[in-house]
Amino acid sequence: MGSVCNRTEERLWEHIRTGSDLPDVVRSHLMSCPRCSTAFREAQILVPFLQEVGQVTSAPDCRAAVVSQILQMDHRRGFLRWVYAAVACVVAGIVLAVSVNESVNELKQKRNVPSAASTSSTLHVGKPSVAETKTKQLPAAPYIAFRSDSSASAVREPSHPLRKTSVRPRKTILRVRLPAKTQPQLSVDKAPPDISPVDAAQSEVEVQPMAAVYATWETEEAHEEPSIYVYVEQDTLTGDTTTCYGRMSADRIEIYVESKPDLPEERKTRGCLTIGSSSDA
Amino acid sequence: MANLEADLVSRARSGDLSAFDELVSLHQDRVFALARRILGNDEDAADVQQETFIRAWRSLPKFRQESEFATWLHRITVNLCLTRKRSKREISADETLFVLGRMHSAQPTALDSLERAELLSEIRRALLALPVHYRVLIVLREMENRSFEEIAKLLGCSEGGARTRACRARQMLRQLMRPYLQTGEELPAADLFEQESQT
Ligand SMILES: [Zn+2]
Repeated sequence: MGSVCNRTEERLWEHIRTGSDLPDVVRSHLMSCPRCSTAFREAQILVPFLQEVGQVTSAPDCRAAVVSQILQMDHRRGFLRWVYAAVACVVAGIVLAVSVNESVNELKQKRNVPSAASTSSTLHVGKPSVAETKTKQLPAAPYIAFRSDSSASAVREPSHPLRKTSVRPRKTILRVRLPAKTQPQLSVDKAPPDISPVDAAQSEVEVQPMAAVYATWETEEAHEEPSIYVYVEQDTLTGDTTTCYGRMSADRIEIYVESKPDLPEERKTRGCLTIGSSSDA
Repeated sequence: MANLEADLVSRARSGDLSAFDELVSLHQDRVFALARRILGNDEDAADVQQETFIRAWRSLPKFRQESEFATWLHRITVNLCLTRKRSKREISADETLFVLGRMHSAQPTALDSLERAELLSEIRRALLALPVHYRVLIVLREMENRSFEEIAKLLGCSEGGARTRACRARQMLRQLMRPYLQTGEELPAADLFEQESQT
């Protein structure tokens, strides 16, 4: 779809939604472009329903809750102010006491020349001991894996005369391997169609995304949303039925892909892919 | 109205909670509706509604009265919705084993053979299947009929960027709903993927 089609679609949706006029240039494009005419027919069904889906009839009254939370917040802040003040007083007291003590000691030392014994009592002999600095162990970035046992082998791409693509997992290519600052977050979803097949240019069959799993994580350095995803897609040309199951636990998501059991073996697809947080990588 | 609101805002900025309470009263329905449309359920929307006003109260000293209070407030709402963790109500990921998708070549389904309610629920489902940063465009543009200028302000992006994302969101939604939208005519191949390959 080119930018003319995109612009046309925007005008078409607006026209259906608001009854705005369609300029001649849009009308003539619509006549000559099969894609936009399909888009128009689809939008004619979709747009009125969207208006209906968007209707929200009642809203809760949140005033009491908001005000009470604000008062609590202010109360807490007021209390904390007292705590800070008290702590500051104590610290100031300690500092004062130490400095007074030191100046008293200095005065005493000026009066009495220190003996070797008294000096050695305050100095440690040997190597200076430095407190061990704790290095924070950062979890690594999430991982993606294919299970390679016979019951759930890596997803195969069976050969079929009609089939150029098949059920297959895809993953993003990580440009940078960024260590995670916190445990990666995993989420699973039906695949949104904006996840494109890597070789879309060669794909001549209609493919449908089926499932996607995402891992996102925070990094030490600022970076544009570090995330990886894996998704499974299927071509719809052959009509083979495939089911996609997900299994989710605290630290990993597994996607099982399984063809309909009565398919001939060479057209069966079966596999499992895992995306996990780094803890068990 | 505008004067009254400006007065309430400046009083609230100087710490007047009763003025802020009135602002909440004026805006809470709109804020809830916006969150409800984006998140798709009452419970999450109510959380966001409350959180929006708490954040607003805390950030009021930073609010410069150059922009409209409602726009500023809705920007907070949209941000909260976008950064909200996917809730369990949105996806049933709490089940140990669940079906993500059962796919076969979709048989065209005539619209009139579908119950209206079923189509509505399919649209709701399709909306929730859209990534939230696309869904928000459908909500702001197609449900709330906002201008791209306003959408750009709410999302903190350019008008062109908002248009591009809205276009993408519409195409994704049509793609998801395609089995229910077919009207008998031959459909072109998955144009989304063709588009992807061109970019
Ligand atoms: Zn066109």
